[in-house]
Amino acid sequence: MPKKKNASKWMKLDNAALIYPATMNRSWTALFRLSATLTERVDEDILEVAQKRTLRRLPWFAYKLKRGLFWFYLEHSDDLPRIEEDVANPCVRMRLNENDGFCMRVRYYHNRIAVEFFHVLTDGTGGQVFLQTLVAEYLRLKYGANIPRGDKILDCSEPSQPEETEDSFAVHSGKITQSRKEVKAYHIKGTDERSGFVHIITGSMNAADVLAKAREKGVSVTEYLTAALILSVDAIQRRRVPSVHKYKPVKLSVPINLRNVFPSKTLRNFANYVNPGIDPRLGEYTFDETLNIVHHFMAMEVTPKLLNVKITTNVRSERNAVLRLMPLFIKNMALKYVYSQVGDALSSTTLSNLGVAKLPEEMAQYVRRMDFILGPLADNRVCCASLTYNGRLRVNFTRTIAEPVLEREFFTRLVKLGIPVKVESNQQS
Amino acid sequence: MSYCVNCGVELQKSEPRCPLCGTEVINPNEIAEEKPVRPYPSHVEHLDRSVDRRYIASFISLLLLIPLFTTMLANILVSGGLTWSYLVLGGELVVFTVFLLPMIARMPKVLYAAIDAVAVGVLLLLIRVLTQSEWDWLLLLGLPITGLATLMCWFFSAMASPKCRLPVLVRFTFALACVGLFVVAIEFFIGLYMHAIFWPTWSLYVLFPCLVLASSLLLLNRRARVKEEIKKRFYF
Repeated sequence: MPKKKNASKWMKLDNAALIYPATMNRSWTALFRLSATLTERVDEDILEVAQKRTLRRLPWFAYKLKRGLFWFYLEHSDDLPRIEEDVANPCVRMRLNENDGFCMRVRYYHNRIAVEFFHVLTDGTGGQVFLQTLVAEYLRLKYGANIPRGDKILDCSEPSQPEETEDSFAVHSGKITQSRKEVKAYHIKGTDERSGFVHIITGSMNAADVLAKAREKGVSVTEYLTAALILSVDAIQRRRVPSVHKYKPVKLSVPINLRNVFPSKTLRNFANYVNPGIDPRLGEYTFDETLNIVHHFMAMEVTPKLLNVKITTNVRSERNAVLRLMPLFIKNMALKYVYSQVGDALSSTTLSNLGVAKLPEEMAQYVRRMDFILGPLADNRVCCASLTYNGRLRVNFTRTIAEPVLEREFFTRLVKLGIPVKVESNQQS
Repeated sequence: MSYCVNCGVELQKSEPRCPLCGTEVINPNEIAEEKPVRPYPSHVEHLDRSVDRRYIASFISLLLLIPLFTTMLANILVSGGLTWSYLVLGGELVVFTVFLLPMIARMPKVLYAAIDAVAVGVLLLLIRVLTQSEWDWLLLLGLPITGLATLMCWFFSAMASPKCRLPVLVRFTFALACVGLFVVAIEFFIGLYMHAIFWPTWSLYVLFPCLVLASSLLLLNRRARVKEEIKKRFYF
């Protein structure tokens, strides 16, 4: 008797992931990319085996995105994503049909292994666990490295844990909601790039230098970088907009890892945003003033109570009966509209700092460098992401316009503040 | 190691010029070195061009020729000359100017409306010639109403355009008033056609509610508090 086929496994999207498939279009997908640069060239065949083993531990990373009548969902599939060679423009939109329906892709180039994730699967923290497990598995297969496994580097011989796929938003939602409405922010405009080329400029700094500067001012590294970036956007607006009455607020969207605030072991999306910023109409801000604003804004906003209100607002919308019963294509239009009002429009750019990546010594000896890159945003043409590893803090700017104004403004500002910056890019020679 | 003389940042060896300002890097001491590995490969993943609407519209325009030729051929074979197939020509002309032309040619919106009006006029003229009916329905009903409808379309597009500086409620006021007046004008032309111009009757049933609604919107617009209330209640 033929073996009965297993009922297919599937998964609902988590609360934050709902918006991404609704807002994706032919030329834009919400992506981010994490990469690790090794000491030697990457072996494609070994990487393929490592991916297979990693996906056995984290099977839902290979789920495919499908359309239901009312919602998108993720469905199990027996095939595996292909390993691809890297391209000059990372994070260029991911067409699911070209990618066999998978929501991630593993790419390699020389010594580097990179994974690009569609945001429906996970956020930066979940992505980092996937990449670290993949690289650890690769190193084990290639060099026989005996790497201790734990929360950040998973053991591929163990089965997947249910709490890793939990929708923590639903678990931690409360009773009180608030309006998402905020003032719209200034946006940097520029010349559209030919056929969607994505520019990447990486600025690398000595992490200790930045930390010392931040400590000197009594703030965190994220706050220090945020203040510098706010002033950079502000300087651009002051140059470009002729009248002080036409100035718009300069705000930055700073993702907050909710795992640091609420107890959760999920490896899916569990992040929210705060938008610190200044109102340039009120006058010129000094660096210290901006630091002060950002520092206290973060202290006020990043609290379990206020974040809980934000989560609850989103979860409540998801549970709204009218929205739930709307057919998917109408729902997509509604979500697109909502996103255009309260998404990118509220911030001038995004600064996502994933913090410090620490690898055990057995693994660190093979990994020279790690990078975090955000894919292009929907409306904002420039955004940036940073990650510290091995004593280097790397800020990666992603841009879809021709002019590198913000990057130049930001990096020269850091140099003036006394932090030496080394840059590289994907510019075409 | 090289620094950009313009930006003051250190440049990775693989950078041929400063990525921030484009200044070329020439370090006389490091010229002879072999080319370092670039951080990204040179292969660019190109986006498919978005759907070429112009191409598709041109293609559909060509497809429109098939029914046209078929009817013309049938017309010639059956009646020995071109007669009723002119109606198909007129109909297709309207379809082309209304739906396909905006995708093929870029021009100001007023011009689209004008061209559409001309196309409808031509169709009406063809109907008049082919049915050999009286001129008066064309001159008193067909053409004036087409003209008015065109004007109204242009007015609506001006009101809906993002460049329009008027408050939303005022725009709705104008649009409602415009609809009311349009209906009155239609009754006027119908009266003209029936050789009996009299005081408007049934169109007033449309005009008055429109005007009442329009003026109440105008009033609402003057009350900031009520406006705020509406904004709040209709917020989603």
